[in-house]
Amino acid sequence: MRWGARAIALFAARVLAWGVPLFAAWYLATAPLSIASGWVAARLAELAMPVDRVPVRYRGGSLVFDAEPDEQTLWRNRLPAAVALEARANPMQFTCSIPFFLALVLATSLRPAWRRTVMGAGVLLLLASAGLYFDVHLQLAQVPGPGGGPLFATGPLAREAIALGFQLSTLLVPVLAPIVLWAAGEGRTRILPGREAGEGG
Amino acid sequence: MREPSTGRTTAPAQPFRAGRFALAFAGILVALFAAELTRPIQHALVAPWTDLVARASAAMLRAFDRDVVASDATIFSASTGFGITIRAGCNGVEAMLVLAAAMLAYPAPWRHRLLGLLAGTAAVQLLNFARIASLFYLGRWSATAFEWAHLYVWQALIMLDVLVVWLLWLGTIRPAR
Repeated sequence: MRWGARAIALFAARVLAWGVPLFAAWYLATAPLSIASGWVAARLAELAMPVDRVPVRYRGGSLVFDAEPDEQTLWRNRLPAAVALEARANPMQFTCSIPFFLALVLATSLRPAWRRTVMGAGVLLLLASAGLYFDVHLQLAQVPGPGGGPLFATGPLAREAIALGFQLSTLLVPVLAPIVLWAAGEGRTRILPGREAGEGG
Repeated sequence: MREPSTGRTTAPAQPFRAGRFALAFAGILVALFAAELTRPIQHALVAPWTDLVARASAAMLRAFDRDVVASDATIFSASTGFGITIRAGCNGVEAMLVLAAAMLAYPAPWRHRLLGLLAGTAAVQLLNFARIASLFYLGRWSATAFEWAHLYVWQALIMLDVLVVWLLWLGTIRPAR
């Protein structure tokens, strides 16, 4: 069923109305959401970067990642074994997608499919982790070694991919992913064409 | 073309396939976004557009506040010295790219897409002006409120605007039988 202009205006008004308590709730839940997304981001960094460990801590609304370079990086840069490189990131910039998604879902229906909604929020948390990882990787890729060149050896293509990933993660994903997930779930059965009564699915 | 039952002006459309739309939307969006980040496009289009947005915003703000001055992409208060710089993400370009990708990916006549893009660009930029104006005054009042509005609230509002424009545009397309 397609929505008319009045239904769309009402939907937008409901999103705004739901946005107020949901953004407030998200703010109150910042610490656990940040710690969860930061933990996954640190594991991604350990998988993708030449580091041994990336302990992460939550401090004053920010996540602090202490990347410990691997032996090869330490040897190439003639660094002592106890070196840790610090990168800070704002997790709220990435997790703000969650209250927006929930506002879209609840503005569409007060009885949403909760399993799908929880899964959508989970996907957004993973995307937030990916955004944090790109942020951390980009910061660490710019750290100069003692010789003046970058501490971590990164090829030009990988550097471009990380920069593009960071740009997408900050500018597009936090606001677009909630809409895509909403459209794939609650929105699909209500607004997109080809779903009129009798067409199935 | 006028639909006799509703009186709506509509354009005919090809059948809608959700999977095809999703793939086309993702492909077009990534291509547009990657192109936008290249140096030539930044230099030739994005930077001049950002300057234009800053100057137009400053001109509109100056209409009711003589204290506002613009220099390149920065708008500042002549009396307090507080200023905001309009950068990537604040010029409405990304929102316009999302809208363009959604309209281009949807099966609709080209004329309809073009009209939708023009109207959508106007709607996005109008709200973007409201964003810039509100951020300018919020920043003068409170750094925390500025950060909240800038990083979290307005991003979602602009994308909600894009969604509303796209849904309204969808409503003007006659479904294929």
